[in-house]
Amino acid sequence: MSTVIFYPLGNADSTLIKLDSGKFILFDFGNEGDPSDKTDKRIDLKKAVRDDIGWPEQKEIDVVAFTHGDNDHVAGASEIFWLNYSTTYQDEDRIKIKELWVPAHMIVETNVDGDNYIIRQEARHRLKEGKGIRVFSRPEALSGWLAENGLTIEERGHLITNAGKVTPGWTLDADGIEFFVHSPFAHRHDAGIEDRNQNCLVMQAVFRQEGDDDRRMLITADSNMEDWNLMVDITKAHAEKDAAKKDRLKWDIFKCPHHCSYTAMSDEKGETKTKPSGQFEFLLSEGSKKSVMVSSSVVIPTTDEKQPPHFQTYNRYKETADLLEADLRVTMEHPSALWPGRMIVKIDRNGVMLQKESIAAAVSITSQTSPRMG
Amino acid sequence: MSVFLSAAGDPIAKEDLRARRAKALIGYLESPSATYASLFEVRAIGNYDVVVMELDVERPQKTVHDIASKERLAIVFDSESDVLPSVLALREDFPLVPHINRTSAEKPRSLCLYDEQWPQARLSWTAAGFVRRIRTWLADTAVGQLHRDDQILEPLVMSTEWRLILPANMNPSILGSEAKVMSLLSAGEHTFVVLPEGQQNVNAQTLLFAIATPATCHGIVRRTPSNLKELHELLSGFGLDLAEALRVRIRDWKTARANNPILKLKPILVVALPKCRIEGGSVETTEFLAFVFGTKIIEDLGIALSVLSKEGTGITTGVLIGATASLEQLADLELAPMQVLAGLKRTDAAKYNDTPVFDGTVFAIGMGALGSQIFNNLLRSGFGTWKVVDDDTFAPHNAARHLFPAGAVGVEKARLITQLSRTFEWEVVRNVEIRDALTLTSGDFVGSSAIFDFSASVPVSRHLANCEGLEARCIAAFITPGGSGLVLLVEDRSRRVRLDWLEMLHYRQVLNNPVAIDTMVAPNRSRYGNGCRDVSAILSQDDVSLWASTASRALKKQVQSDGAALLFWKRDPESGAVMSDAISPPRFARVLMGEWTVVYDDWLRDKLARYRAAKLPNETGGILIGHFDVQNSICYLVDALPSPGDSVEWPTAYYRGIEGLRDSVVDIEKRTLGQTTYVGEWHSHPDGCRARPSEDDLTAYGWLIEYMNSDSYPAIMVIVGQAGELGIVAAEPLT
Repeated sequence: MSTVIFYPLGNADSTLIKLDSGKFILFDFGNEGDPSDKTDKRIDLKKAVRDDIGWPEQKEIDVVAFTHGDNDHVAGASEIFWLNYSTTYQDEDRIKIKELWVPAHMIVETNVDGDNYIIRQEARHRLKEGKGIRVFSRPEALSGWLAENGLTIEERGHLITNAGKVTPGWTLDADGIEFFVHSPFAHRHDAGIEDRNQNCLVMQAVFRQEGDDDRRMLITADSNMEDWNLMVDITKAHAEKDAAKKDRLKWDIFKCPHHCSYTAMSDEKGETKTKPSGQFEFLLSEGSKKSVMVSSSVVIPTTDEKQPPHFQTYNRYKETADLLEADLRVTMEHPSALWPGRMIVKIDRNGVMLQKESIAAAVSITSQTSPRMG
Repeated sequence: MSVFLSAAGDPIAKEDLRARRAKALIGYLESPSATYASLFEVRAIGNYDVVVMELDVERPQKTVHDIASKERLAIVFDSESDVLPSVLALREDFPLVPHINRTSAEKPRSLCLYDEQWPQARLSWTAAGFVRRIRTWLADTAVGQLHRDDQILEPLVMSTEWRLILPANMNPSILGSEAKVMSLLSAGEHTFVVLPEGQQNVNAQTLLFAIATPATCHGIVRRTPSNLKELHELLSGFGLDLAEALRVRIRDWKTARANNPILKLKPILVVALPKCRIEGGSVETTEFLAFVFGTKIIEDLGIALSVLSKEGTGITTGVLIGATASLEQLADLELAPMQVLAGLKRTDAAKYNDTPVFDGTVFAIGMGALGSQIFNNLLRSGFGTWKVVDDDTFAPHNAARHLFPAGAVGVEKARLITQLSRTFEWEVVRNVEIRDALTLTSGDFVGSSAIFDFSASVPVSRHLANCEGLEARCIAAFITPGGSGLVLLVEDRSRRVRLDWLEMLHYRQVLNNPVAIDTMVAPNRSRYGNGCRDVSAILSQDDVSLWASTASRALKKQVQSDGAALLFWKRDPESGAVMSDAISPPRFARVLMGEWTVVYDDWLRDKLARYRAAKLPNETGGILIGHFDVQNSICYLVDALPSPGDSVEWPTAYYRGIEGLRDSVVDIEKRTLGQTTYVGEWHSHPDGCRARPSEDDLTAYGWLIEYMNSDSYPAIMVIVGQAGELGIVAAEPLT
């Protein structure tokens, strides 16, 4: 049985995959909450991740992937991880990263600061060292940076994975999981090949377990409509030539992109319901029965808002969820808006299942410090 | 999208709810702590309050039963009496799953939530817990785990006041096969007991017969039939044409002989339903449904089925061939379902006791107060097949502390055991003998896997310990004199350590171990007859039943182990709390000295070595405590006392003093009720000297012989040398 945990972080992301084999894969670390503020309902991600991997017995995560460098995906990463590039980030209290995954953009971008800068430095360090790193892009897109650092594609190409490929090192047969890369991708048009280097990491994780069909999770990060239009078109085109690709947009677990923002599916929010592009419509139709849909966001507002989540977009997702009898849940509303907690999805021989555990009060109370009394 | 049934009644305002629990549920549903649950609407009908809510249910993609992620349920509360609230699933296509209540209407389906009675369940009923229970019910049902795989297949019909009890060993094939007529039975008001074969009542007024359906894996009955028509319809769902099967059966009876008396009997119809877990699988259990027809007799059935006709005189005259009855006629034949229970099997008894079945043969000696109650405990867990020996007859005073009632007076206890065991449907007792246990020889025990000595008789346990050729291990259980302790002496499987030595080790515990100290107290006695030995110890039934329970629990465990052990328990005189301890016998030696055998062990050797070491370079000494079994010429060395204060201890000599010695020996005798006493002398030799008697020692030994022989005891002198070397000097008594 594998487990996927989505953490309530407001409009921020962090998803932990726990495999039956004991391996851990963490996508993003957007720890923007303030644990000292009792009214802040966002989870203390530093503590939660440690608890969930079994710290201190377990001190390493097999893969930490950052889908892109925005703060809501990297915040606080420099406080929890052991980083090879600087002794500042090396003490016994830190979780080691066996392999770091980043999109090429996180290597080459400049003018960054904070955790984004620190992770960039670490990624660069690892790429220079040539170990513990995987960069996602067309290899050629990194040729400039490699040259500046006295390296060549020949020397580092094995650490770079292009879209349309399955990430090396993980196979369904050996690991029970694989990661198919949708983005960053290059886009061929009349003028030639254009690298969409601003793109974040988008993947399809495929879970294989005994006694069940493969189950699929789309890790969508902050992808937008334009990305999806291209990704869907490209995938469909490949599927026509290669039957093995036809399942690459299918999903049993769907993370609504960009905290349930309308920009993922359309140019326009719509009044009561966002109308997706044709390609995004197709993407939604690839969901399976009784699947799980997750909006990693704050509570869905009832009024029109500039920032995500957008209720109109949520309404469109709800339509798909109803059709599929899927569970559509919002991280900051699960299990309740009053007390959000981990959203745990289990994958076993019965397929995927959103856990809806209700915990007796006595258990909860005795699991936490009481307020000041007396 | 799902279609939902409307809940009964008319919408009302929440404030108008009357039932206390309905209000509590609303309170919970509207509180911020209500996770996965929300209020849909509130209704009322008559004195019923109806709360409709929607629940989020945990369910995977692949489900066994089609439970939705969100279910709508109506909870119906009786505002006038505190009865179990009904939980109705409102989704129109809510599946027919296990643990649905049988109600008069098929929909909405009513969830059977509790496996305990409502008066029990309501003690801990909270709205939050109730919602959680329903959500768990739904989630477990979704994955088919509410009815666990290891659980027996769900019974088809539930409670009714009528009961039919079948013998434990009744082979379902007898009932399931064609045209078996079972004669019957003893009848209570609502209970019919089918007696085991050979005990059947020839004057029975009731006829039991059975009809079987084809094998089925559907385990769910939606409605309880109340007449033959409804039963016919129910069973047609299981592939049986009941009306036709009955016609055939009655026609056969009618044509079998003129005025067949069977036709005048009241029928009990047993329907055998062979059940399999999956379609086409092998039959796993056969479920029995049974039905009574009130005062109706077979003839009445035959007439209703148009297989018999009736003339004006009321006499049945013939068989109608080819007559087809309308089913409507059958609606007039009322019937009531019966709960069908099977008699207790040995394996069931073990299971109910959470005990593995022990199917060895147990030879039990002594069915007194303790023995009979231990037997009773073990018997009820299906433990063992028993051979019982007891030569006593139940006397009036026995009823104060015995398994058997006062009415048993005058009957041999062994016979009472037989009577009791016959009421069980498996072979509890293979044979009983009214016989003095001291006459038993090894041939009597052949085939026994263990011998349980409950005689509380030292002679009997010594007899067993020394019984030549006896191979089965012995385990003795006895209550210590005074009643405050229990002792279990467990021989090892190869009988290296026997009851006699274990008994000695117990005395050692009584002298040294807080868990055994003070457990041997001379009991008060009460006279029940004129003879010298017509006295019975004062011992409360509270203690007997306490120790019987402790002993039976320990016996079940000990028969599975291989090693020897001494187990003992002690009850606190005030609180009744029980302490326990157990020891494995240390390595021991038997030294043959002429006719006599001296037995001692490493525990004693170590103790003497410690005393010696403490006084080096001087010699030291003291006395030996032990037990003489004159009958078997064995001296058991149980303990040793250190040197009295007025002794003289030189590097080359030792004079044992007397200070406090007499008092100590008297105390030891008292504490073990005379079972241990002074048995000899010990002293040490310095380093470099062997543990052999010196000239001086031999002189002293002469002195010892003189005194011990005067009491017809052997003289025993133990010399302790370097590194635990023991020298034993013993001489049998001259007289």
